[in-house]
Amino acid sequence: MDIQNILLFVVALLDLVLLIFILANDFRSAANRAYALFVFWVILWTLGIAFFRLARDFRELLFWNQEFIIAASFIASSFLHFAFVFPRPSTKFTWWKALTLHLPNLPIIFATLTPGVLIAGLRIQPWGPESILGIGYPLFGLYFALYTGWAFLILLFKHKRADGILRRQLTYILIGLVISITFGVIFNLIFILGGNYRFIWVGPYASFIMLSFIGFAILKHHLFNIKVIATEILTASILIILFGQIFVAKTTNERLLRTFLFGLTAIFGYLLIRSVLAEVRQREELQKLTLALETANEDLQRLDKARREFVSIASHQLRTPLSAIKGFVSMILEGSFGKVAAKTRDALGKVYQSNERLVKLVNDLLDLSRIEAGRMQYEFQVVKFDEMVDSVVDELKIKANEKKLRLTYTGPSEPLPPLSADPTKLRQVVMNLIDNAIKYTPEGSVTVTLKKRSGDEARLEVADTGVGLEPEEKEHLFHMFHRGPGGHMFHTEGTGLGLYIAKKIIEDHKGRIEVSSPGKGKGSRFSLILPIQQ
Amino acid sequence: MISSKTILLIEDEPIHIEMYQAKFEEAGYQVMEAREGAEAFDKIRAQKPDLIILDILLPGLSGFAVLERLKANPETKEIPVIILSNLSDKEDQERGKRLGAIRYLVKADWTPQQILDKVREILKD
Repeated sequence: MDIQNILLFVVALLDLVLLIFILANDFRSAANRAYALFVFWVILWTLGIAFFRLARDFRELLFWNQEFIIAASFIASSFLHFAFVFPRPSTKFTWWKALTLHLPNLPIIFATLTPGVLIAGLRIQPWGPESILGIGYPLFGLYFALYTGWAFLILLFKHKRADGILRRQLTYILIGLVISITFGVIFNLIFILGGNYRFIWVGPYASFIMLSFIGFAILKHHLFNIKVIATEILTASILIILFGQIFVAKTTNERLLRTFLFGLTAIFGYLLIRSVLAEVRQREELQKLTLALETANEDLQRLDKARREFVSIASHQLRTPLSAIKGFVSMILEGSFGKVAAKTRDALGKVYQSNERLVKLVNDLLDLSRIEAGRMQYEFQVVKFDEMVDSVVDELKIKANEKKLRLTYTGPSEPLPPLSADPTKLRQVVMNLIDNAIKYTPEGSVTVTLKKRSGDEARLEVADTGVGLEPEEKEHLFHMFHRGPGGHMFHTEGTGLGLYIAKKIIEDHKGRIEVSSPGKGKGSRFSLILPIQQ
Repeated sequence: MISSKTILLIEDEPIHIEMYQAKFEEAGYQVMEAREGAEAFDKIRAQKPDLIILDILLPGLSGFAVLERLKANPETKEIPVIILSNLSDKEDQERGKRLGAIRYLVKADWTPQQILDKVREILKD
């Protein structure tokens, strides 16, 4: 027995394993059954070729020759059958249609058994036996080519329309198909038609490749990766060859050595496949996680967008009546609608101030929502800080005068180098600090000082003679909705957000706000420190 | 200071129209009003205003779309446009400036008198 024949038996055995595996996987699936039928005929064909090559007399030769031609005929029809029902049969594919597919086998069986139609004679050549083709053989070849071509087109069409797992399954099936059809047509159709029987053993080997691909596609619904299949096929091929080598060994020592080699390769092959599989699974897991993360991220972005739109529209809706109140009250106070009595003016002034507080609250809440979402945006520009502080002090002078407080500002001894800041936001903070000092100082003074400190820092100090702070209060001061200690007693103006927002803004300017107070009733000192970029 | 210049107020909130109209007329300006984009273009065709005050949230065309069309038309692109809206997102403000608005004012932050001052500044009255 030569190596080719041993391998033919090995291939037939492996095909049988594949068949049992697929049927055991899901006996009821129409695709699995069609595949099993297909493999069954491939096994008979492979065995037919093997026994044909081993046959000793004319009767045996003829029998196996007829057997493998008939098996080949059924291979074509059962493959087409499989193509129709994979991955599941359409409702239009009835049992009698399936039966019709297999009908051409009847005349072929008849033609095979009739001497001279497909087999005209047999002869033994130095490389083995071969048959003399009958006049009907090209017709048989045409039938085989038509049926496999039809099946191929069906699968190709399904592949085009499929997506996801099915598409990948079909990709594997088509790859396997192209490989084996190429080999099969060359060595088992064209060569035979040309009278060359030397390579009839190639077809069954090639068919094994295709069967593995298809079996793999059916079994692994979550197809891993071409890497795994490639490793498996490579390992299997090496093992088959090594296994065959054992039988053609000439001495016992050689046989032992080859058996050892085979065993060793089997172990390493197994480990190799396992590690590739583990790697692929890991990657799949990673892909799944990435996908989950992407989805979560998209959800978050959608939520964030919805929240942003809500905040934007809600603040707009709040401001619409607020700007009408602000506008009309200011116009009444300006005399646009006639003279206003002093008492009315006083009352309207309070309406105006209350309304301003609401306007400020909406602005603060908007700022807060941006800060919380990490979406506070800054437009950094070169800012002349001393001029800015000067103008804020000017603006608040009226308010300080109303409370009979002394508000003074001492600028730096030499002009401060310009700093990089968002002018609107920085002004908002300075305004907040000085305004707070006025708010929480019943009597006395508010002293604002700006100086350059240690070369690369600007320090703005706002000191007052107001209510002061308990040491433990300093911690909570910059938290949301914290109000000054006497806040509820003297004033009702604050929103409780000012210092929190101020701190965030200054931190985003790489600066800091510090507070110190000798104690309750002894005033406090707020310091705003900003870096100066040279 | 009496001026005979015309201001077109594109605004859909009746109370706001009444308020700003009163303020501008008090200062001697002639005020035209339009409650939406299409009406605004009709008014502009009939009489070209010296300045446009434009809200953003309008029925039909948004204020941005109106601004874009105004700036794309050679007949109207020189008319100064002040956006006056209660939307205050930085993105909106930047978009307004990018599309060619001369100022972007948040309604709730300014009294009508302060807005009038800015109009006078722009019209050099």
